[in-house]
Amino acid sequence: MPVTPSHTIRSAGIGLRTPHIKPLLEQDWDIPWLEVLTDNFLSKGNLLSGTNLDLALLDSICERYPVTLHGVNLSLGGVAPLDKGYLNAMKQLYRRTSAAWVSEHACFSHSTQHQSHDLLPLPYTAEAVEHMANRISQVQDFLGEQILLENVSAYLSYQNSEMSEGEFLAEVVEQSDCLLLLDINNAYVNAQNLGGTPEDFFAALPLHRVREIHLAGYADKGTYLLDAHNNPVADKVWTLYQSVLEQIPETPTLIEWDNDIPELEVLINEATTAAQLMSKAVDKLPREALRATQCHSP
Amino acid sequence: MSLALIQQDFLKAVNSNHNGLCGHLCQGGALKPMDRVNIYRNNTQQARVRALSDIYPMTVGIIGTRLFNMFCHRYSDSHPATHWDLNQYGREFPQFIAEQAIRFDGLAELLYLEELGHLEWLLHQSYYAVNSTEFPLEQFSGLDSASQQACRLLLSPSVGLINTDWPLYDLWQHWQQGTLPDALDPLSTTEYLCVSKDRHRPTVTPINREQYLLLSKLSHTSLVALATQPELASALKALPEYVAKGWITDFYLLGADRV
Repeated sequence: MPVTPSHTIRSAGIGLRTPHIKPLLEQDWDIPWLEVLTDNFLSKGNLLSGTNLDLALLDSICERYPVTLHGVNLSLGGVAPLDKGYLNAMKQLYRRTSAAWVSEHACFSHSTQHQSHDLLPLPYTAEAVEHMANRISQVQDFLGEQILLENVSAYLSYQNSEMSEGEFLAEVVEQSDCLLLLDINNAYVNAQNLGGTPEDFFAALPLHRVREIHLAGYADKGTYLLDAHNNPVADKVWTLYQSVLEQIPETPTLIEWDNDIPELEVLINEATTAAQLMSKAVDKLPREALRATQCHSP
Repeated sequence: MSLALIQQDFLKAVNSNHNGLCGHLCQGGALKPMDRVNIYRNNTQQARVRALSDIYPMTVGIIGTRLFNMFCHRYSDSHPATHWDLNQYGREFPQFIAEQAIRFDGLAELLYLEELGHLEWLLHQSYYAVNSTEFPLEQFSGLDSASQQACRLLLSPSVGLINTDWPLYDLWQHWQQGTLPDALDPLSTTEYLCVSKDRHRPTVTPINREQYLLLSKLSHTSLVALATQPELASALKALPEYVAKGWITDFYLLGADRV
């Protein structure tokens, strides 16, 4: 079993993607941490055998870099029962990688009959709050740890929503006692696609519960923005990031890039930019305020 | 509208153009409700196209990305995914694509597409199969002779067998070099192939008909019954070799507790 060099997740990391595994292992890089996509390592043979190539490489990665786990298929808001097989596999991976934490999305992705392989938004209702909070509690009880809940990008909204997205997430977090993963690109994309402002969204959130920030690039489709993770972080998203850092300056930040994946150096440059903005935000804070914003692993 | 009904309608819309969800969506903005739903539908289809492209790379190389993607979209419409793991999606794709191909000029003569797809599925399955432990030789040796003869042997989950009238082994070898043959002519005799995992990577090994028959029968025929079949006599001598290669990884006795 690999031993993670440190649980400390700090500064700006990058999402681990297959084309970068080889260069990450062949050379030393100044990358403070990596986020591993849970689902890439849960295929049936993977966790049951210790010598699958994917897992062998992941073990090597975990020996050199602190990691976190980020999942997409838990369907925390789904009405279909939680998949115990998936949960078990996730827990095994969590132990195997010594990941600092596990994050998932505030969405649903499947029913008992159908699977979407996309992150589908929930209506912001009291029913959905209670339902998702209960399921998050179940997952946290099973893992023995708090998880991080991420706001998703959305292209539609429901007539029967009773509250804003920010209010919805705040309520879920409160009821389940989970933590937040704040995706600033998603907040920007949603404001453009559905109205509202990212600032109002941030204002509704309990920012003291944010343990990780995501940054990514979107694709402009003319009539909407697609959360494509195929571009550098947009200037407007960097600006929003800076405004969030004024309140939570030391929050570990991650660069996500999933399509048209560039050379590793491109992601590292983006992460370096994020780290520099974090340093600036920290420098601006009075010493007392900084002590109050110190982040800890959940 | 309840959470359950919204989710049911959403998943129907994503998988089959059902428009029941639209009535529950907010209006306004540059997009109509159905256009908004179609963004998710497209995202879902793209995820499945990527998965099928990863599983069937030789087929993509032969028929081209444009046609392959079109077949993927049609397949996605008629075969919604039921499992979160996209590595388990696409088992029926080889048969589907063969049925589609006969309607297209230039593809209709590619009669090997289904068998090639089957080979690619076996390679994919082999990669993700559970890695087996070594054959429990000590336990097997500890059995008395009668019990040994009553045993049935189990193939590794990473082993798959295929027989074909097309030179798929040659095609696979070309693919290992990054090329594809210009044309494929049917073989005069059937080719038998064993897919297995060599360390971490799936590989293909040509075997003869007797070996193919033996390996096909191993898990449901006792050793003593196999020994009564004259055509398997020489193949049976190779059993230790299959154990050494990791193709045979376990045994069981009917009625016994252990497998």
